[in-house]
Amino acid sequence: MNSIEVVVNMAQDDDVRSMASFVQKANEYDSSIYIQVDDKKINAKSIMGMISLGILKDKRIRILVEGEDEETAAEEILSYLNKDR
Amino acid sequence: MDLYNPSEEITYKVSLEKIVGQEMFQLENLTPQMDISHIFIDKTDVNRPSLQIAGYFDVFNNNRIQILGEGENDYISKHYKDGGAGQIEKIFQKRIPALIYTKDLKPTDEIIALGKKYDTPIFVTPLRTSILIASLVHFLQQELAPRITAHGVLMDVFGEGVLITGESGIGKSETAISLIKDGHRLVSDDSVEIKKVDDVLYGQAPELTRYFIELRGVGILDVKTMFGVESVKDRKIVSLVVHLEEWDRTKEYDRLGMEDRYIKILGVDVPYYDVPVSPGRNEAIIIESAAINHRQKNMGYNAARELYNKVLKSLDKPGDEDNDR
Repeated sequence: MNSIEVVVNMAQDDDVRSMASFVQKANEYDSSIYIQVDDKKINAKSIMGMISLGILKDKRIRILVEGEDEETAAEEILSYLNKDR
Repeated sequence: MDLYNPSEEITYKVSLEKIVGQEMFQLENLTPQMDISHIFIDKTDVNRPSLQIAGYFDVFNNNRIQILGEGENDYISKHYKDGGAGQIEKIFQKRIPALIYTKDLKPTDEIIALGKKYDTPIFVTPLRTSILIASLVHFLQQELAPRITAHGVLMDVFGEGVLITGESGIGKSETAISLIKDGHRLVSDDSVEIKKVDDVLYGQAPELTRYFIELRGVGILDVKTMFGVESVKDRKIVSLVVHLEEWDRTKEYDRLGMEDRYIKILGVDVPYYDVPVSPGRNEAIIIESAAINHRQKNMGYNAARELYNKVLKSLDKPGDEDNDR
């Protein structure tokens, strides 16, 4: 299992849409991808789950990736999140 | 990773501010100037420090909220000339999170001053001690319950809480809409907060996405405004799990339902059904049937077992069935 820790830096007024595109990105992989914020662990492929986390801006989150393509998934998700900055 | 049974032990906490803010406890703060924002409770029990009033401190659960009722106050007035200030000070010295007087029995000014000295907030409520303890413990059990967020849809189907799980895109939300159209109720789509209180699993929706559903290709739907209040429910006990998955020809699916299968959620066994999905199968009706069958089993009737018994009987007496008529 791959585990990455990042601080989210999404534009606040565009939060739901950037979440939707993040969910879209997560759905590209076969691996199961989970986002951990505080004591919550949410499936990153679920739009409702991600919205329920609320605004993630400036929050420290942990991304857990497990599956056959976990290496590429972890790498690409990290660069996807960094690209947003 | 086992998402239903997290390995790491998390201690949940609830702020004293939140407890005080609950109207049901009717707490009046006798030390309002004190900052209580740093006080958190992580124990579901409360304590009546009767033995401590009498002077016994060998065993004292000082990390619990302490509640003084009529009995303790009567004992104090009969045994201590100082109104109990000396004994209460000993309790404060043990660093308790808060002290609550019930039945509107306000402490003396001396005791309030001691509370301030030891940075221990004091409250009073008109409630009876037993009522306050019962509701406070119940509240703390809810707030401090172990919890997980499950990826799935929770529905109330004929009174049974059915958690529908399965990979993204398998058709959980579509199934939910069919069930809603058939008169069943939605608790949460896609993400369900499950709390364990007394080995019972309570499921509800996260505040932000409550009563919303995401239907691929259509977008976000508001079930409550589309189908009315009768189509939603705020909380439901999870009584069975139906897992939807793509039909795998090599996999053996339950054909009889003789043996019950379970999945562990937060350490609790929940009946579990693997249901293969394929074109032409109506998942909503399958889930309705599973829910009714589960109800029937709970009422003591197992259709598979009845059929089995019938077959056994017919083996015992060959030809009997025809002669019956």
